[in-house]
Amino acid sequence: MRLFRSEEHVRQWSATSGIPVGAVFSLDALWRLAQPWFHNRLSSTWRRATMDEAHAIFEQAGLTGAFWRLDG
Amino acid sequence: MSDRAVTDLDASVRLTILNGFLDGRAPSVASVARDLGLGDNDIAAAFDRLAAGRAIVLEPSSRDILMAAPLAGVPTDFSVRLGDRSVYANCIWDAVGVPAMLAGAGRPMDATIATRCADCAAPLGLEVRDGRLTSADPDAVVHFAVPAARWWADIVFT
Repeated sequence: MRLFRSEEHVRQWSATSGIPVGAVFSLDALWRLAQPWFHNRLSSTWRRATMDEAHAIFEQAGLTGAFWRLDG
Repeated sequence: MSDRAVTDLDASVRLTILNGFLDGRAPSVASVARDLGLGDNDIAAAFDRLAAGRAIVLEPSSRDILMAAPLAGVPTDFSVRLGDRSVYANCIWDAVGVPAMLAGAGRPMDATIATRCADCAAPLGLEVRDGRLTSADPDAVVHFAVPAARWWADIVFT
């Protein structure tokens, strides 16, 4: 889960490392993902998100498809 | 920890770990035991339960904390500056998660995140100010290599 200067750098990294390109998305989507995922992490009642809750957070951030299925 | 009960002790231990890192310390079984006024054995057992529930990740050969998401127990390529102190995060998602976590607790969330392009190692920076995430690198993108279903197969790589 890394940051790259551009999509071109992702492709270069993939070609060099031999690791296939996975999911590429914007910083806006990252921010929409991180806020609901971590907002209650300093609460004493925090628990891991259920699969359905996690899928809802991914979808809300615009991250959809097989890559984002925890039951895939 | 959806598949097991979270005890009050486990919750206290988890929060003591996170707040310890946020205070610039390196929490351990011994330090958490001191902070909570409990014995090492009770805290070690809580560490093990939290690790089994994936709330924290421990070094394989010890109970040293490798990860207490979103914070890292070891230096990483994801530094998050919060006022006059810095913490490490485990990945770019966790790095951005640090200010998100602080905001959720009603704490100041302004942060400066320093990392490097995973391809060319050029420094990349993100800023969280007034609840907005911005970057001086307008073309920067996030890449997740591992599909969600396999994140925990090798969480350090993920």
